[in-house]
Amino acid sequence: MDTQPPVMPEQQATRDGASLYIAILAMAVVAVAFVLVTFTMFINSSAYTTVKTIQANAKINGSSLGDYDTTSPVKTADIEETVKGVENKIQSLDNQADYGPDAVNDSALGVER
Amino acid sequence: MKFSRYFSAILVLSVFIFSGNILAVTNPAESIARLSEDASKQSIVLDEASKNKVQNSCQTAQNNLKSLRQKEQRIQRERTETYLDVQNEIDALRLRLMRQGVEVTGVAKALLNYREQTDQYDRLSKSYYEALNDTVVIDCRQSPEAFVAGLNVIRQKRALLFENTSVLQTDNFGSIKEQFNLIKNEVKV
Repeated sequence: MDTQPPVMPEQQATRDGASLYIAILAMAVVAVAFVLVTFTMFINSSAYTTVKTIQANAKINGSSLGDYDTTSPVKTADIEETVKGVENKIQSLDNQADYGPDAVNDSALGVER
Repeated sequence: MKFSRYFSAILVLSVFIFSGNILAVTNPAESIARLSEDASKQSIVLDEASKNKVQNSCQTAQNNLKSLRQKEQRIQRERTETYLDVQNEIDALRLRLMRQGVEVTGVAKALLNYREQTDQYDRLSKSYYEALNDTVVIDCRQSPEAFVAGLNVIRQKRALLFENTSVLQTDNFGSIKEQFNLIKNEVKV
């Protein structure tokens, strides 16, 4: 025999309202977890690299030389200094280390055939 | 009871949306399709012994490729920044010379070639990264031929990047330097 007191309609409505709030709160937590996982996946994806490349290209194409001196008179020494400076920068990039074949051969990767 | 009903309904909806997001970010099916096509183009056929060896070693290789993929992102960012900085410095110098009435058409042309080469670098770098990503995300034990095809594509793209960056350093920058050497005679000390 059921001994529990009957639930009044007002009490039931209050309980339903509370359940909805708890459900929404719980889902908010789940949603945050989903967003974090998705964000991590995006950062590690090729899509992110594509975005970075597009940004870099846009930067190159839309470059306004705002931080560079474009007005003062040029002397021979200025040309030599600038050319030497940029040459050092560009020659400091190690193509062999970055794109040489050794890093992707079978033994470096641990592939056996 | 109501809580369970609300929770279930919202959970189903969230999972539906979330799975769409995952597919939008990484789609292994696309990677497998691309590499299977590459394997077919390259006519890759592995005998049983080779297949077993590849299957046993490919996961180690995938881990090494993951490190390479991470490194590639850094390299690409640093190079793009350096290339842009060099371009801007040269362009700024060109503008200063132009204001003095010095003929700088040669520098402009050389700079344009340099920029085309850096654009090509961006494209190559992107496709190299895609090949790295494809080869890392596939189930290599299930598809050893596709994995081998992926390795071949990586090597091919890497060789193109090596060539591109070498041309940029020697030919393209060499032309710019040559143009400034010619100009130096026109500029007063």
